[in-house]
Amino acid sequence: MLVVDRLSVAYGSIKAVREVSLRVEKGEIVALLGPNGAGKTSLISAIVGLVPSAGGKVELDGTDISRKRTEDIVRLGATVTPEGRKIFGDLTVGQNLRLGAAVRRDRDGIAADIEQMLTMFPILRERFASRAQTLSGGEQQQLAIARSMMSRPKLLMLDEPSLGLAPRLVEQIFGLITELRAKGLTLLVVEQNAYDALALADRAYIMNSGRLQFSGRSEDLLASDDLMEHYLGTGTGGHAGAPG
Amino acid sequence: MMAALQMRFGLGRQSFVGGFILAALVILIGLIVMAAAEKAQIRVANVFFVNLILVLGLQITMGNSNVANLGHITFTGVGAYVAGILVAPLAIKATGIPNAPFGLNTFELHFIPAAMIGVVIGTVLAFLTGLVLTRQTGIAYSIATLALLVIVHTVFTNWVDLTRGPIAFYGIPFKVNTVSLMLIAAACAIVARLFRDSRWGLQLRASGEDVLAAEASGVSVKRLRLVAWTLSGFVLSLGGVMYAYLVGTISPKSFYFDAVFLTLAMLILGGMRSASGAVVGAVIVTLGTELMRWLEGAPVIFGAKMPQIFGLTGFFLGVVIVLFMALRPDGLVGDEELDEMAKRLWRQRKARAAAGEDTGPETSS
Repeated sequence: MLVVDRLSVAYGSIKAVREVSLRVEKGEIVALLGPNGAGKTSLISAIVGLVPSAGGKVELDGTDISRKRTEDIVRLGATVTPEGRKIFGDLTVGQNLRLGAAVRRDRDGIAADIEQMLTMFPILRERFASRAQTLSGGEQQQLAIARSMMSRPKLLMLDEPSLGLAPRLVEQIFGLITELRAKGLTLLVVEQNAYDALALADRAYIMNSGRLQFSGRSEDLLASDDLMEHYLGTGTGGHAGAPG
Repeated sequence: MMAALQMRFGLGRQSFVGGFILAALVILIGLIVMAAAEKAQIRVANVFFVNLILVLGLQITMGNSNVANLGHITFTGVGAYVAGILVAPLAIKATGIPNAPFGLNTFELHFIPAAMIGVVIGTVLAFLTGLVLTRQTGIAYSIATLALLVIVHTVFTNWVDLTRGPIAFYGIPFKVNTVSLMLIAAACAIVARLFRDSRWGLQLRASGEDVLAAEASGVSVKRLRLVAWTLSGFVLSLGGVMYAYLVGTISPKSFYFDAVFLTLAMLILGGMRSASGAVVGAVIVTLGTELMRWLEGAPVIFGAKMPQIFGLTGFFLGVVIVLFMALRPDGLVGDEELDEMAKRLWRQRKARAAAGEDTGPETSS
């Protein structure tokens, strides 16, 4: 579904991403892990054209999208849910959902999809006419994901969906991710919360200082304290007491 | 037509109803002034309507995209000069601009085609400058709009053969009155309201809150800014034509910082995020500046002769901008339209009344 080939991102003279290659197959959940500042957000921003790439190639279903504009990439089926629940706080929940369908013109389809989102996220139906900023953190994350779903993506890239959420809500959001995959979606999940993300994902990539450091199956990573310690700076010891 | 607009632009019934209510309000102001006011006050009202058109034009770009625009009056000047020069009688042109380029002093146009050409040229110029300007973001964009104002002002001032330069260009026939001005202002209010509520306006407002999140949703922020900038150029140059036809005499300084500040103060005071805010701001600032002008003229209040203070109006506008930016950046109206606000308050009241009925005895005890 997604093939990233030696993609680089630079902000002036600072190289945020250095020749990273990765693949996401149809129907997979892939985790992209790494510490703060590793270049994860820059990488997915470059994949959808939100920041220009400084070399490399991105293919979506065999189409080269490296030089395309974000709106065209969204139209082709790859959408990012940005980090920090960037919902439009002054607009209503309903308007936020409509905005998710910015690239679509099929009025009836949009209305049907809004209805579907409201069924999937009952809280959004309840708060449909309220301003999005009045939603709680967990509700805002649900809205952010629902908004992304409104573009009918094939590949959804979630940037830190668990950031700032209470453990119970993290579980809820991760449950939702599994549910989305069951509906046929392919997901690339950027996380700092490595354990929970690995429990969810089929495969994982680990980035550090702009480079890809590891790629492999989630269970292999989880099974090896050495790998966890080495790449993520945390063995099972550091995980004691956390839910899961 | 309404159904077609609804289909194509995602406009709901309330947008139309709200737009017409706002337009009715504008017309009501005109009717009250015409019925009750004296000649001097009617003149104030006429200028008010022109300013209202300009504020609505400014609201379309600045209010929706939430990026400061300091050069909007450029298009007002272009509309005014183009229409004014085209419509001016040959005798006036023979003495005023005897060396006019393009043979402009060899013919005079009827005021309607002249107005149309003025608006078209203003709009096309907005589109062309927008192609460059909307590539900039944030503060670079605002500075660039200011630079545009200065560039065009320099042209007005120095292309003496065309505009008479810094000397006023006079002799433009008076072609508008309170009725035509209020109708056009009302129409512009509807345009601004519908644009705000349209799919484009909604996407632009989202980008005004968070450019990145809007782009991630597939919103083409640059293109929408260009659309808003061009539509705003249309309204602003129309306002310029109205100005020229109202006062008959134009000069480069009519379309410079004073006008920029006045319209900015109106929009900021009323609230730039709604068309209602533009109307409310224009009304209140007009009343305020008239009060200041009266005070400037050393009136006698309760038997006491006030001192003569020059520059009160400018001072007043500056204070309005600073105070509102600091204390109430959303302006008086905030980001709801008046009809939306009324609907919400009504709903809340009804909900409260219903809740009161349900728990009647308890709440009263």
